[in-house]
Amino acid sequence: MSGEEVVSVDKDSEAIVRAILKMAEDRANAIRKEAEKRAKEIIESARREAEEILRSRRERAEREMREEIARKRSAAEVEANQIVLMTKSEMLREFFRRVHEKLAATADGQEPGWNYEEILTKYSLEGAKILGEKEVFLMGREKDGSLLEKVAKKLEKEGIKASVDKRTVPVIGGVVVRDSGDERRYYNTFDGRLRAYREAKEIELIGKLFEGV
Amino acid sequence: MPRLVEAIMEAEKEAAKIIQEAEEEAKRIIEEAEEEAKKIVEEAKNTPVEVAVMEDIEREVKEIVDRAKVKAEELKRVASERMSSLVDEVVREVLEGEWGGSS
Repeated sequence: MSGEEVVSVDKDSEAIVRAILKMAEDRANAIRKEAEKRAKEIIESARREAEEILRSRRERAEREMREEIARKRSAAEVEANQIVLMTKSEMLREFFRRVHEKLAATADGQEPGWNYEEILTKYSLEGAKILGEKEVFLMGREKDGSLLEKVAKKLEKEGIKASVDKRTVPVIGGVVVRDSGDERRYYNTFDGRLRAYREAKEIELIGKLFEGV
Repeated sequence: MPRLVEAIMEAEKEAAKIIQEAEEEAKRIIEEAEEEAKKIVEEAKNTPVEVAVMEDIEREVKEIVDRAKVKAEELKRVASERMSSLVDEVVREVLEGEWGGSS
């Protein structure tokens, strides 16, 4: 091999080596670039996931807070209704306690404007008429015995044979009229009248007591 | 010629090393990114979430109950004023009305 040939071979090999190394470096750069691109995608994807997680957590927290607010508001409204209802109930109870008290005082002859004997007479006549009997027995409070005797005499004048039953009834006032065989009774007591009145009129009464508030 | 072959083989060895190093670096870059991604997601899971208080519910609750208490007092006052005359009216209706009992 001549000197010229050696130089030529060296130049060729240098060019080939450079080309090989250049290709390797290009490939290495491409690998790095691809890795960086992939890394960027991974981070971006993680950021998107993180944003979604935070958004979802925020939404959940807000929903829970709204639910908590609704629960508290609803509980307050229930409590408020209870306060109002309990007051109405308390006042209604007091109202009927006073009615009861006044009826008892009427039966004891302590209410001016009311004649208990007349009331008993009216109720007894009413009872006898409704039973359609010519002979009746009158039952009332233990302390109404003598009053009922007087009522019985008044009934006699109306053509009705009336006697006072020895048995008494635990009522505020009024009378129970029965036939002679005690097969039929007519309850004309204050208690029964009040109960019937209350059943029929309580709603109207609540309106009158609390109207306008 | 053997020198050329030798030079090429050397160069290919060097090229392989360059590529291997690049692959290792790529692997490390991706692993680091994955690690960072995990951290980002974990942080999102554990960061305390602040929600703006939309309404002052405690104040509203107190107002609702207070309003009911005021109404209750007004109900008591009005009912107490009307009670006496209404009691007389009801006693009269009970005693004189058609409320006779059952037979």
